[in-house]
Amino acid sequence: MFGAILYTELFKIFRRPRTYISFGAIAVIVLLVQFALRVNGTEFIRFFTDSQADTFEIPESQILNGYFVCVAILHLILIHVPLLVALIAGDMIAGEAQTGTLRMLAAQPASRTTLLLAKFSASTIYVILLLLWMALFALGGSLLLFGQEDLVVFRETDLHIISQQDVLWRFIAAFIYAALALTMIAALALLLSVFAENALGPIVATVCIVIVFTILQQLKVPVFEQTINPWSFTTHMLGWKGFFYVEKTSEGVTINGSVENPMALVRSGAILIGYTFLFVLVAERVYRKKDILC
Amino acid sequence: MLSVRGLTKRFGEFTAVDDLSFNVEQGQVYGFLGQNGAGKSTTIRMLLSLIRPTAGEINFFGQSLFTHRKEILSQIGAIVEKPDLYKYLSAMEHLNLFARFGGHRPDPKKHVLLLEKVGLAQRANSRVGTYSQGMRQRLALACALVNDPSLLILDEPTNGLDPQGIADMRQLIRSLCKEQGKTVLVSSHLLSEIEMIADRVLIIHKGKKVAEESMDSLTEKASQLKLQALPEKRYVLEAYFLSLTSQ
Repeated sequence: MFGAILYTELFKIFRRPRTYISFGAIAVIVLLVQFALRVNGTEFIRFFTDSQADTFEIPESQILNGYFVCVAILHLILIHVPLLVALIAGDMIAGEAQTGTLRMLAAQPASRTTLLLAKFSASTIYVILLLLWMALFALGGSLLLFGQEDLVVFRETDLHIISQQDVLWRFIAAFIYAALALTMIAALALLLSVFAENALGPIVATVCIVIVFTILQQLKVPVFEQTINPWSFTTHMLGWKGFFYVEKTSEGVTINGSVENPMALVRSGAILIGYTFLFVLVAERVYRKKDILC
Repeated sequence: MLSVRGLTKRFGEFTAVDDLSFNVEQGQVYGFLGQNGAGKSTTIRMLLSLIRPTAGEINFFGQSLFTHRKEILSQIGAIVEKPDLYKYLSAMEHLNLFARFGGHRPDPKKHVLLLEKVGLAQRANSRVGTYSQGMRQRLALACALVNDPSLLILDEPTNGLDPQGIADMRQLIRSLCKEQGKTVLVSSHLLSEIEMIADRVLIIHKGKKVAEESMDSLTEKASQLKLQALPEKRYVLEAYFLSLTSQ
């Protein structure tokens, strides 16, 4: 029964024209960034390397390669993808309540728990496909346009140089981590969707929550740094960056296959999974007992 | 087939359905009448487990809806109020979708026959967004029938239909009952329609049952009322309904 309902939920998502707006938006943004870096890439790199330029010569043409462009794209657009995820997940229950199809679904033999879990699973599959699409354009397209070299990652006043043989697994890990973070956003949007009878409400609410916690995180004031931020999901959503911070020997040589703080990555991943379970569990409890009046 | 005992639903202080009891026998067309806000839709939503009753029991096929929901709903097809469908899907895609929801594999040949029965075969592959309200109503009925249920619960099934559509729907409900032995519980505000198709009628007013009669018994009772003032004496049900609910 679950498989059949999951199939129908996916069928509905991918038969709806608006689903493809997200895929189109990602393709356009990635292509624009690639075009900009193709034309003004050297200036872009100088902006980040101003502080180091006096110490040693920066080989801009080598730094500007496919891997570097992909990391730049991820920095620029991953923070905005929650909006695209909320557009679908926030619509899952509230959108059906608004159009009146929810009562037809809820009067079917499948339990409400099955229906909700199928909707959440369909949202998760949508998230994964969106990230695969992004990987195709951001990584595949950038490698095609800019070629392969060692990856240089700028971090405040520090540089991390990762050999090209050590890079691909980091991108795969970063995309898997981003999938965890965006699945958590899908769970949050689904939870809010259970309370609403209009699709716009949960979509806007999800985006507002992400914005509020992101601002608290960026304020970097002790009152939030010591209380909310360590547990805020927006703090841990950015954990994918950790795969591009490498450990170095005491002589400053990069250790291949290493990450600077693996335990912090594991902890952040566990917190994201914990939030996802919590949001889905509460959504299930509420939806199971909800009177469907619309 | 269906037994309802002491069914009650309260929304805070407001009692929408109050201690309602009735039985629907197999093979009957059971008319469910009441003015707007009388509690018909709330009752139907409770029968389909969309709303949790405050009190009471609902038994289908000798089993409680609260403990055998899945088995019971797999034998029921329903239209609840105005049927809202997926505008971006076609009629065939709707039938495939509802077949899967019922745990069945979609059967295109059977679906074409079903669409012919409700008069939508010509538009089987058009998107529902291009349908008129009447066509959507017909498709909703096809969706309700797609898993071959033994009981149909139809809330205002003639809403939005033109006179020909109403006549077709009436004919279809009759044939489902007489030829296929299905049981139909139908609510409508069109009293003359219920009068033409129902074997038995339940009338509720402000959430309470005010009458439950067979059509024969009802005709007899209505004839005892002073109907002379009515221009059309043949609308027996209307006269009886108004005498019960206009107080």
